[in-house]
Amino acid sequence: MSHYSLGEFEELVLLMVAGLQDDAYGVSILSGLEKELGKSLNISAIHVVLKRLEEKDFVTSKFGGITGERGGRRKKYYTITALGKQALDHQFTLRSTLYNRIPKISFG
Amino acid sequence: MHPPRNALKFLRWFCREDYLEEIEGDLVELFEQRHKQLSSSKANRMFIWDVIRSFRLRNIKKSDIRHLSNMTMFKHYLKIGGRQLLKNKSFSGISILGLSIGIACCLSLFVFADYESSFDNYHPYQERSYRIVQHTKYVDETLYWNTTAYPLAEALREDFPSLELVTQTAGPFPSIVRVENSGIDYSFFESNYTLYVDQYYTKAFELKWLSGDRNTAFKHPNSVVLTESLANKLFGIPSSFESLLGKTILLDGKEAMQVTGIVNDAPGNTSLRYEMLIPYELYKIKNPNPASNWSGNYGGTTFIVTSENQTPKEIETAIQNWQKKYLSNEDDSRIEYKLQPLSKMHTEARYGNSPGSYIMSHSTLMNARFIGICILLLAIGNFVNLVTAHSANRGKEVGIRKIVGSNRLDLFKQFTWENSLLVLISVLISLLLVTLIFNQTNQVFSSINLELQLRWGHVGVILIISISTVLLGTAYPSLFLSRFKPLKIIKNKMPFTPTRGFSARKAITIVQFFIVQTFVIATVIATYQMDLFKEKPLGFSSEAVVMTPIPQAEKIESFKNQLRQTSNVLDFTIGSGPPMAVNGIQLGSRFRVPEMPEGDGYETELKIGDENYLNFYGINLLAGKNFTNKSPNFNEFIVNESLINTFGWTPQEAVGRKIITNEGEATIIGVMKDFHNNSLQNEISPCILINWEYFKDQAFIKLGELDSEQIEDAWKKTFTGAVFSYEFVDDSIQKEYFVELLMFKGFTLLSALAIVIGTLGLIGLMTFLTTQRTKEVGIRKVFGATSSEIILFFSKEFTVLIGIAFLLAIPITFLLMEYWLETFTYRINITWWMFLIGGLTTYFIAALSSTIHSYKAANTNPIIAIKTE
Repeated sequence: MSHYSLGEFEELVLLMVAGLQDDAYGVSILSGLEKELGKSLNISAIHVVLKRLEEKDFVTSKFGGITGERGGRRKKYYTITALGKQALDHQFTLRSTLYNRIPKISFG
Repeated sequence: MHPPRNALKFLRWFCREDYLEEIEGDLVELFEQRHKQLSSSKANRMFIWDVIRSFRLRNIKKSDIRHLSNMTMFKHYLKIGGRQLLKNKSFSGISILGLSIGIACCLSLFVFADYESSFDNYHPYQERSYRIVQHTKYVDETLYWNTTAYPLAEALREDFPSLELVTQTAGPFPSIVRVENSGIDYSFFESNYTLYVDQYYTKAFELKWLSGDRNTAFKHPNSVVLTESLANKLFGIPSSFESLLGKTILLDGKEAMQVTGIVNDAPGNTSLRYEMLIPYELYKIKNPNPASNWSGNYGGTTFIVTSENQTPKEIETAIQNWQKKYLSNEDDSRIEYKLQPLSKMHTEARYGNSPGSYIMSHSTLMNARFIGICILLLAIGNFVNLVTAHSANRGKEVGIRKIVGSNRLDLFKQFTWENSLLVLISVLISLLLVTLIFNQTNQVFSSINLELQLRWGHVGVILIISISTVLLGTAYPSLFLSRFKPLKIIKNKMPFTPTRGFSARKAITIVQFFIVQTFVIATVIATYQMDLFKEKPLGFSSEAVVMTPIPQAEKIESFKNQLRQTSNVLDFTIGSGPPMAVNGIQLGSRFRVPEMPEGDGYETELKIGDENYLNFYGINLLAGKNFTNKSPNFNEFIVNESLINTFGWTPQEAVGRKIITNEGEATIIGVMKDFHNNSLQNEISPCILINWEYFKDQAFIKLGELDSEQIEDAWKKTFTGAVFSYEFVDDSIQKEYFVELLMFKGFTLLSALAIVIGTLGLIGLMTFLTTQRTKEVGIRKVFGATSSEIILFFSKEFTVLIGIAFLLAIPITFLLMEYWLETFTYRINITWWMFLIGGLTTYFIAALSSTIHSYKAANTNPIIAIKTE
């Protein structure tokens, strides 16, 4: 197997970070995922995964500027790293290869 | 619009700094969104939920843990602690002394209890080994025996092949050993614990063989296995134990025995003592009657090892159904054989002890542990009081530390470390004390082979005691000290809680004195009970009487002649056993009247004595006459009151009646007044005195001066080739109260220590009170109070505390001691002045120690006192 260790939920969050580009922070990732998955998630779960991804060097982070919202707290933006992108690519290739092996039989 | 404040506060409190900004920001943003889209209460709820969900290990502040492991601060605390220790030598001395005494007491009691519960727990089939004990049921009572009839073992082995092992022992009996051809004069030795064992014994019980073959050692009846120490006594320390094999010794002066093995000495924690092991075959050959008798009990013990799947209940029922095959109908209906696990032989009191061992009941051991905990609590309370009292001097330090930036947790840690240092030193000293105590007690109680020692297995107990001492002893003082308010200290206000009303310190003092007084009152009551043991008239006089064995019955007459010529001998008599049964030896039998069917009857004790026995011991006859001076025979019985009471006869009626014992029939010629034929733990039981030619194995001699030299000469002239030994009857009687005496001495020592610890605690309390009120004392003196008034003023406080403790101690002690006294057949009654003695003793000791202290305070110059800041 691969040397990228990436759980299912981690993969989803990483994809979200990659997709949101410059606007990836806790709340935006949460609402994006909730919309796509169609179920509600807890923000703390997102936080934990983000920290874990950061420890694995799949994402980097930086603080944004202070605004009047959020009780004066800065947003923390996440960006995907090259390593993170590689991991996603690897995951994608693996899945499509496996998917393509499904015989083209009509299940109807 | 603001998120719930408490939830936010909680988040800010637990969340690590570098995550907080992001987490709080996101949470607040979500809250703001929800507040707009949903209702405000729902947004609040969800925010709280988010905070709770964010409370994870990953997000919690790590700074505290890093802080704790800071070595620099730890070293600093140790250094300050060490300096404090050396600076206040007397204070540190007192606290360490009190605590180490307490820990030492507690630890020794726990080790003692541990040792006493470890009896016979090391045998190969520990879980499946049982001793067969016998219950004999009579209409009015049930008798409990730890011995059974000799043929039982063989019958069980034959009829219950499913039992893994059945083994029979006889004894231990005392015997005399002579070494043949040893070339030195003094070649006679006494062995008190000669145990006859069969070949199965070595399989069922743990013996460590130094030489010899365990499988063949007991094959031939005339073989003997010696313990190492007896072998050393007989042959000197050998070059190798192998060289002793095949040597010959003479048992009781006649039987030649060949040494077939040497084993390690029996350990102290066994109820089955032995010095010499001899095949049971030999016992059977020498004593054919008892060995084949199913209805008597002559010192034989049967042990069984069950096979894996049998329960003791099953076997008991099986034996119950089977025993009629051998027992007479009467016996069958009365006797019940029970299985007693080996581990209970030492702690189950009702079956009594085998010769050379003693019983320590389970409840006594629980009490010992409980007392240990009480003393430890007392010492901890004392330590807490002292340390708290002393903290007055640390007020300024605490103030400055707080100003420089210590928080409460830091201070708490500091004082906990400091006090733990004191506890650690106390634990080390107590280990030393315990070793000393054990050395002493082991020497004093060498007769019962006491082997108390600290082992690696006790590390657990030591750790538990130390840790609980640290927890209980340091928490309160540290909390107390770290609570000081810096501003108040700088303003010169003493950092104490008010003295009037309730305080933790007072409660501790009350509990301490409650424990101390309970101990003292209990000791007073126990002293009176022990005095009863010593002083109670026994119904016979045994002053200055020694007993000495008669090894050769045919020389009794010549020994008598020798004694008559000895000036130091006032009187003498020949028989077996002094009036009170001592050393666990008692000749048991059964008696009945001719009208009763055979096999029916009651238990009795046989005493053998010549015509002078009654006069010699000052036992009065109520009716009938003494033995007349003719040759001994079995026709005449003199019986005691208890015996005739079983039939409801008056003494006059009893004389002339015939009664039948296992040994034969005879006429009652006299009735003697009841005397204590059993030690005072037990009631007087039926007893028959016979002037019989058998069993006359002891001479009782009343000495003019307490000097055994002359009778030793007479004895040696008569009985050539035997070892002289003698024993004072009074001493032997005292030995019957051995366990009681041991407990009493231990208890007296413990209560003395409790007083010491309590007094130390009081010194702490007085230090506290006097320093706290220095100014007050100064002002009082300026206004004209005298020194004695000041002392009175101080004693008022502890008088009240001791008074409350006394009132609490009275009912508890009363209940405890009533419970204890109920275990005695002959007991004292508790009266009010016993409490008063206890209470006053405590009060005077406390008053004395505190007066010395308050005297110092009362005599300081008032000017200095008022200036105190």
